[in-house]
Amino acid sequence: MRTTSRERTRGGILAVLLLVAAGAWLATVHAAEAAAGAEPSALSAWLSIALLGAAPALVLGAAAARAGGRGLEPGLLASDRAARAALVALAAAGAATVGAAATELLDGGALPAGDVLRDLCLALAVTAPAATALAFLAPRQARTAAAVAAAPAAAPAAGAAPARPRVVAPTTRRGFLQLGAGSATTAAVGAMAARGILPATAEANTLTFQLTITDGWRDLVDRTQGFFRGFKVTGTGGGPSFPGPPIGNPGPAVSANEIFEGDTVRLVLTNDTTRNHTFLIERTANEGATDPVLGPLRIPAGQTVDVSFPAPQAGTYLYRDAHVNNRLLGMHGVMVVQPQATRRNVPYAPAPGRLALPIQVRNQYTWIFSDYDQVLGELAATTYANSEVVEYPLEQVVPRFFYINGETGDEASHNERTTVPVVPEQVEGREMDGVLIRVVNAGVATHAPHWHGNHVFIVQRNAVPERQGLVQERDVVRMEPLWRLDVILPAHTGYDAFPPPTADPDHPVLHDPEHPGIQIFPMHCHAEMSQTAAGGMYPLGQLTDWHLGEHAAAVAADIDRMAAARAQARVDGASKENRLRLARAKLKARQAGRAKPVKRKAKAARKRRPLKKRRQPAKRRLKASRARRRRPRKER
Amino acid sequence: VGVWAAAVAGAVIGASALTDDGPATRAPGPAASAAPAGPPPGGPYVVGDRVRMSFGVASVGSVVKVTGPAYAMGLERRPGDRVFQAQLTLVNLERRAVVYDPKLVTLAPRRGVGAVTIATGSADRGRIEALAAHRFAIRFALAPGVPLPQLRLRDPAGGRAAAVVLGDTRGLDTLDLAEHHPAGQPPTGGRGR
Repeated sequence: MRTTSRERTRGGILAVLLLVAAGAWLATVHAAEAAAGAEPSALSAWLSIALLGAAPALVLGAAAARAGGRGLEPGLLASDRAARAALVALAAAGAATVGAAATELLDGGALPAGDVLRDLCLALAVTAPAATALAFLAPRQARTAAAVAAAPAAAPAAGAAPARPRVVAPTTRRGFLQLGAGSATTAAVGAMAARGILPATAEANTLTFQLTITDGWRDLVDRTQGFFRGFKVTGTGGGPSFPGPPIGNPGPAVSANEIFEGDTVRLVLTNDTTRNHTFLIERTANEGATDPVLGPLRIPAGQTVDVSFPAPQAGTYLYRDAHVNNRLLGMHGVMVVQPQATRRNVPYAPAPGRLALPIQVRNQYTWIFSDYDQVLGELAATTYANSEVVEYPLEQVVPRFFYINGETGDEASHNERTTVPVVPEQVEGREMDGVLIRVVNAGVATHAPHWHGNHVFIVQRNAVPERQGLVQERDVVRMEPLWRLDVILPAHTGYDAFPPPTADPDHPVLHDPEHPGIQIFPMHCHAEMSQTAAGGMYPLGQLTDWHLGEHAAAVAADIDRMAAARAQARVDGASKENRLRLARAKLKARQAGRAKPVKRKAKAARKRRPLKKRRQPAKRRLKASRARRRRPRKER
Repeated sequence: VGVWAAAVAGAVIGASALTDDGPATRAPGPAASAAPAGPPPGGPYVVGDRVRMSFGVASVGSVVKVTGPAYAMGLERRPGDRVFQAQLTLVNLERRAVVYDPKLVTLAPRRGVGAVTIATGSADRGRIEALAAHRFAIRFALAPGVPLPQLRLRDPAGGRAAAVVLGDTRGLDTLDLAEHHPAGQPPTGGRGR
């Protein structure tokens, strides 16, 4: 049965509509899977897939219509209808896969065959049900001239009994297209809305965060113990998180608990200790509350305070106990507010007078610098256990442990979940891209983070965007206590990158067999003492890395490798702890065993000795002797 | 059927990707333990335990195997001897300086233990300032096959020595004196720091 050109066109248009829906679904899934900023934004990916897949969709859709014979003409059996729907679905899914593959290639990524097949399955998950639904539902809505016109053709010959075939009603082009467009748009919008990818709405949200103030001991990197005061998520076990749980989305999660300008933030703060505490979010970098966003709130011992406040201007904020020593003991965390207009991964919304950011920000990270003084911890655990204020003058505080996001050197440089940016290298000639790093100093020491590999651009200080035209390119950034600096790290190397790129200028990625396609650059603090721990253990202080990947596949492999290394480290650590526990148990048993077995042995020996040989108590022996002497000689 | 099978597979893959919070969720900072991780009353103590002293707290931190050039060891080794280092952290919670004489630290049993050096660093003759923490490095040589001894810590105020078990030699980290990396190898990005 031949198809008309109109039917082939209709097949092509239907495939394009299905492609749009499948593209939204593919972009959403890719965005969800993109760890550490390996993917561009989902919205741009959706548009890219739709545009790049449109032409293949038209061609494949027409081909599917041709292969399936005549379209949805009356009298068509249901099974044929389903088969034709499957062909159109396959055509649309194929086009979506082509679009996704082209997008990936243009982004400089690799294209493994497995990924193509997987994307085809993902796309079919949308196109197959949608095409089938259209094939069966569209005719019911439509009526009409086409049906009327088609009826005589389908009528039986004169005189023959009218048959009652298993038919579905005919459709019209308008009805078909209306329903198709409606279904595709609904699917696309639904998928995007489900992941929060749609542009901002005017409606403000209320986001609730529940924190509990608590305290506890924590292993320090030299395996001694430190006492911390801090926050944890209410309802979770264990002691305080260090640093406290984030309020908002500090990255690199694609989406989680975002606070946007104008939202309402509700905090439920529970004080689970025997001391009173305070809670402060200060807009400036001052120690005291000079321009507070919130507080200082008083949270009495054992009580809960429920407070709501409007989210301030986009930026990075520090929440903390208002007393400096409590902050140094771990009572601090970040609140990240994102701009309503652009919503994703950018420090602030563009506005006149603000520094413009001609860059695609792939992802955001937050680095919280903290430091710890064991003396302060011991005082908090002992002398001042029930006191809000630990009497220990600030000039006496000498931190000996330095952290990024609660981890020291070796751990922090392997943590892609919170700390290590893993960035696909910028494609030459395309828009500049990089990552946003929110650097926060919650400690007492002044730090000076130094990035190897490239310079960073300071774009915001203490939640105030830099002025228009003020481009500050730095490789070392001074960080006073309580400062919050947002910097952009470009996704390429600088000319003076160290470690140096390979000699091949077209392929500036180290060919390290352990990290294929990845170049690793360190970030360390130039305040030298903070590179160490416990008064000299190097490099167990404030150090981490950033990784530049040759392509998306290398980035994904690198992330997997770090996750595996972290899991192995946990196993090794647990094994060491087990050995120590075993040693302690053995020693305890040996110490306890010195007294008891002796007694048991003596008692057992007495039991084993024949009755007549047992030693009698002196009194009984004497009595027996006298009795023997009193007896007549004969009896004896 | 094939199209529908692939569609179902795609739906499952997509749903699992959307519900999997793995890479897209930030883990909070490492949590501290709920209760003080103290040793049983009266010991025995192991590495990391806090030993109460009259002036504050003492604790033995990491124990490492020391490798590297002989001249950097800081002690005389007999042929075949292995060298180990334990770190002793002393926290002075008094509001006056205290003196913790290195002689208050001994190793027991002595069998198989060779030369011992105790470096007090800037704490001259063991003097620790008021409200301060300081670390002593205890380095000792051990004959082949001899297990790690216990570290005996005596309180300057007198009383019985506290014995700290150093564990066994298996799985110890290595301190290479040539490279100064505690774990024997630098972290991933250690090149060129």
